[in-house]
Amino acid sequence: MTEELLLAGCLKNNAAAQEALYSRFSPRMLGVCYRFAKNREDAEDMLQEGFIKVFSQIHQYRNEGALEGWIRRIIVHTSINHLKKNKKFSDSLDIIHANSIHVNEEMIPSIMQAKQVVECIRMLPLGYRTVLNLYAIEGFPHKEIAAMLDIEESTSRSQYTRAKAMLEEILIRKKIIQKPRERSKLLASGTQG
Amino acid sequence: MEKNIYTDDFELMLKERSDEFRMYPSKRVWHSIYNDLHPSRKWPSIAVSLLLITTLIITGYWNNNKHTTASSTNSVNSISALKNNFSTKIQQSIVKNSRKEIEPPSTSSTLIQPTPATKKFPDNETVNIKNTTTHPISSTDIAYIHTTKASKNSALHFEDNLSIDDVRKLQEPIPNLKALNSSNTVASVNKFSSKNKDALGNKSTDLTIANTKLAAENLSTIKELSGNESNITSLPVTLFSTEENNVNNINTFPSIKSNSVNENKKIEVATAQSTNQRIISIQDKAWIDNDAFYNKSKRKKWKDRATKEFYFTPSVSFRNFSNNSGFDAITNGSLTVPFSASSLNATLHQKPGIGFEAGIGWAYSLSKKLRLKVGIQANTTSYVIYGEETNHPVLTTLRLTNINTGFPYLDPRTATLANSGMNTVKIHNSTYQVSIPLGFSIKIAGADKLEWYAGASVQPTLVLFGKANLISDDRKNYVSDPSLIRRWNLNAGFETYIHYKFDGFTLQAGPQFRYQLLSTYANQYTINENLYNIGLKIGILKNF
Repeated sequence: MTEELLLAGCLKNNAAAQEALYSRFSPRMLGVCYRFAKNREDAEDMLQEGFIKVFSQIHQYRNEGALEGWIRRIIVHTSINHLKKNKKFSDSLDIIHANSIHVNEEMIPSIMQAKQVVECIRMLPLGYRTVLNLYAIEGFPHKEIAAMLDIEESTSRSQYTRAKAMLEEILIRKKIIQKPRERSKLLASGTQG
Repeated sequence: MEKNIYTDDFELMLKERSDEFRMYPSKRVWHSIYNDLHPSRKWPSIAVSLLLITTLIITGYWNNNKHTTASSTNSVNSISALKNNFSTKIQQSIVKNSRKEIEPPSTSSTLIQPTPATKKFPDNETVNIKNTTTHPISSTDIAYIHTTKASKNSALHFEDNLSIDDVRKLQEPIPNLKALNSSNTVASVNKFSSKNKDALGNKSTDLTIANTKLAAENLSTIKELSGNESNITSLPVTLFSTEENNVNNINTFPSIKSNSVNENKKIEVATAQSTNQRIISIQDKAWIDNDAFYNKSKRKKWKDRATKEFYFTPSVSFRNFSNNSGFDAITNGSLTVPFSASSLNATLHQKPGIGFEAGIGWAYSLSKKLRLKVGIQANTTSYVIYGEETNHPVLTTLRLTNINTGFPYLDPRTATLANSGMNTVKIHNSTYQVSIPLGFSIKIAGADKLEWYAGASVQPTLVLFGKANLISDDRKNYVSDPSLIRRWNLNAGFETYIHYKFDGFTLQAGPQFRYQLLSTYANQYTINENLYNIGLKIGILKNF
């Protein structure tokens, strides 16, 4: 079923079309939610809320850009609202205190690299993880991130820098990526050789 | 540059890997979304679910009822006959000096009120046990029966109001005494019973004989009913175990083992094997229950029913005038015809004022719907009358009553406030009170978090101080005289409110009407003034 047909069916509140749309996009969207959420249950709650909003606001989709992108934006906003509603941000200290946070890297299972990377992202403290998800993966500018999370733009930038550094360290320790210096040495040796 | 390339590569890698990542949600997510989008379609599934559940319940009930009805019909006849027969025989064969009935306890879970371990029943006493609760005998009861401190020669007599299930339970062989008392075992109980036999002399002999006879009678009855002799056996009956000044009274009743099933007459009794297995589990459970029962920390019952509350009530104060007894139409030449106090309500220029109430209270729930309340509160009442200041003090009179004679008279006073047509000055009359409200409230509706109550109270009140500007006899002036304010008064309060429970607290809000039953002023003043307040009571309650 093409996207146009799905869209037309959803606009008529056709259950089959809705289910088809859900089946098509839910795996990736759950992945998005999982990067924000504390656990799978929270991620599924975010997904549920998000798709209810998608179907109830489907008439507002203007065919500007891909349908998936539109759905993804709704899912991301829903996830952020879910975190804010459950006071996850106000209880989280990592917006302010960065250096004392310890990440338990032993919990990361050994699986395919995509999941490995996602799990490493999830190991970051909530504030770091959220800013990193929004900026590096979802592509929101810092100004918009600051508005969404009720923080300063400078805070968003600094948090992202720290988040990236921490994630990099985790990925290097897990040997998912190589150290920058080793990489440059390899590049140099390749050039010389 | 290299670092920038690396940074860009890093972010690119993050984005690519994240986009590759998939997770498949559980089915309940789609079901929840579907139900939210199509709520009307939930009803058929709900109806079908209800139908299935109802069918299951009916089927289960029917099966259970059918199973027990057929077996209990005959077992009722046989077991109740046994019980009656047996208990009667026991009673007759034991010398009785007194009977002591054990009253059922206040809690419904136990049959017998636990008594201190040192309590003993006198000799030769039959202890009647009856079940006046609606619950069957629990394992705690059975354990307690078996550990009841009783003297020798006493027996437990079971009243006829025991249910068939209770009788069955009691008919099971006694628990293994090891768990209850390490010095006793089943084997040693038998020894004790022998010793006891000798100690009891004829009584024990009679008892034994009676029991033996009864066992035989029971046996023949059962055989007759079941129609199959080979499967019927019986166990020895009542055993007594004695220790010096510390008696454990152990009872058991004939336990009939039957595996036979007659087509028309089915007798269902416990088999020895299954009973033995159950003995162990009941015994362990009883011991645990017993231990937990005696050793558990008890919360004071009153705390569960008591709450304390803090409340305040902003209100609006009104007043109403009326004549009192001193205003009778007994006049002499010097007094004018008394005017009607009620006309003052219309003629005086006055305005309601703001009142306030704040207090603490304690409520005790007598039942689920009725609560008694007591408290202490502070009240202020006030209202505004309009007048005008005079340039100089004016001589006027107040109509008062002579307390001794009861006759009214005019008391000369000076006044600085006039009740004239201008009336530009606000004059405040107020009182400051302390009350002790005593009342009750009744639950009208509600459950769980939200409840609706209505209540009433009487409030003995002490008026600490106040301002009183009293209208003169000729209604032209106001005379200030706080000494005429009644010191002790009585108020009545009526209220209705909503309770909302959250996090261990209860929020209360609703209108309140408070009426002053006695006049603001002493009986000497011939005009009665009754204040009433209408306000909004807001409170917060918490259990103790």
